[in-house]
Amino acid sequence: MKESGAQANAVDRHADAAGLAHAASRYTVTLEGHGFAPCGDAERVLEALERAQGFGRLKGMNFRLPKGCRRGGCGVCRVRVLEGDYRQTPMSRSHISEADEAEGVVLCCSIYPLTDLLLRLESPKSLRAKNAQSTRF
Amino acid sequence: MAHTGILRPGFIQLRVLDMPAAIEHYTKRIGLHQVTEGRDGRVYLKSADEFDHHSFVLRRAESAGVDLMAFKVREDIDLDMFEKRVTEYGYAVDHVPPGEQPGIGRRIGWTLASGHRIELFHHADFSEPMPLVHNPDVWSVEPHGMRARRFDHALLYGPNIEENLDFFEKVLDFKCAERVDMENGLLAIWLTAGMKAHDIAFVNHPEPGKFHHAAFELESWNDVGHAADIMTRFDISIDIGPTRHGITRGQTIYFFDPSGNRNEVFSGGYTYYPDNPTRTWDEAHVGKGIFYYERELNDAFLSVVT
Repeated sequence: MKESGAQANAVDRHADAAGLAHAASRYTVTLEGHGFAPCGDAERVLEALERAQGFGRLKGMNFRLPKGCRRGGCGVCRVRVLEGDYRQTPMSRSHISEADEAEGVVLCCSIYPLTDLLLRLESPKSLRAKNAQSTRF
Repeated sequence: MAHTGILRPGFIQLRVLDMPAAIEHYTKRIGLHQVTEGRDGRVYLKSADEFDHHSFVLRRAESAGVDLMAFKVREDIDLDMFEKRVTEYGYAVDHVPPGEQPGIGRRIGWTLASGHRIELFHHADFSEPMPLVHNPDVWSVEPHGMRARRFDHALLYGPNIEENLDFFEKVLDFKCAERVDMENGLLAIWLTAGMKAHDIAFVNHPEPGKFHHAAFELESWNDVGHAADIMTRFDISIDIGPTRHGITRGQTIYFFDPSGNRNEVFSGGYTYYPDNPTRTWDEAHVGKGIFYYERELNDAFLSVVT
């Protein structure tokens, strides 16, 4: 289901070349209940979703997509992959356990589509709590 | 020489998820040099404008974040003096033998009330590249990448920062250059051992031992702009900036390394003298204090840490 992190990283570090080579490979990432985003196979799923939200293509969301480090470290962009295959770059074990990973719970900044994907935001409640906390001041 | 005791930040050790990606980021993009790789796989980095052996240590791990931050003391005997004072304050002090990190002498260490490990050391070998000292040109090796001149400071997140403030002032002889007080208590402190506006800072946060950012000093606002160009060209994840901090007045960009650890590059900031009063910010103005041009905190400032 997933390619090795090392291979994914090699692609990530040569994103320019990968982007050109695979420009034709685009998939549809659907966020359950909210809409969908086109996403290239060399593109982080979170960034495709952010762009879709920026264009107003994600509906019924009264919060902004969680935007953290976008590099697998901070854990704010947890999602559950309900359908589809992807490759991944390393994610912090503080936020994604081996059990999470086996169930398809990932940080969507660190996955790239290999097929169309169906995602569910994993912890919107805690994210709203985080948003509330950060605007409390 | 008026400056005794703790001189400055010596080095910080961060955990990274992908070592090759981290090395590329910190050497090619930030502009550091790799000094050596230890037998345990830790990688030791420095700026060409620093004399000491290294200032930035990367350790491969399963989670991102900070292992420790170490400060350099002026004399070897200062280590014994600080060990006594830290112990009397009630913290258990341990000893790290010379050579545990290459080029670094004996260290003492302990854990703060915020959950962070702090160490002190005196001896550091010099390593190449380093500044010239006789008829010195402005650099020996041409600056590259973002042209970082030094590892400058870190901002750490954890609980009990009131105790951290008391400890750094009473035991380590730091001064508090600035602080933010909310209606429900102390939010943040900026502490200095010397004449920079900060060497280490803390934000009150429920989870102990968390890491907000490690900062590299640049020569000028133009270099901050050049760093921003590099971030876009190489698709480095950005948090905010270029902007300015009201607190410390630094001109800045926050961004992330390939493991999600936040970095800062900045230039400027005022000179702090130890007789200066502490500058204070309140809840109504903290947005301007943190991000002077935006005048509000972004979502990530208080919630995105490693």
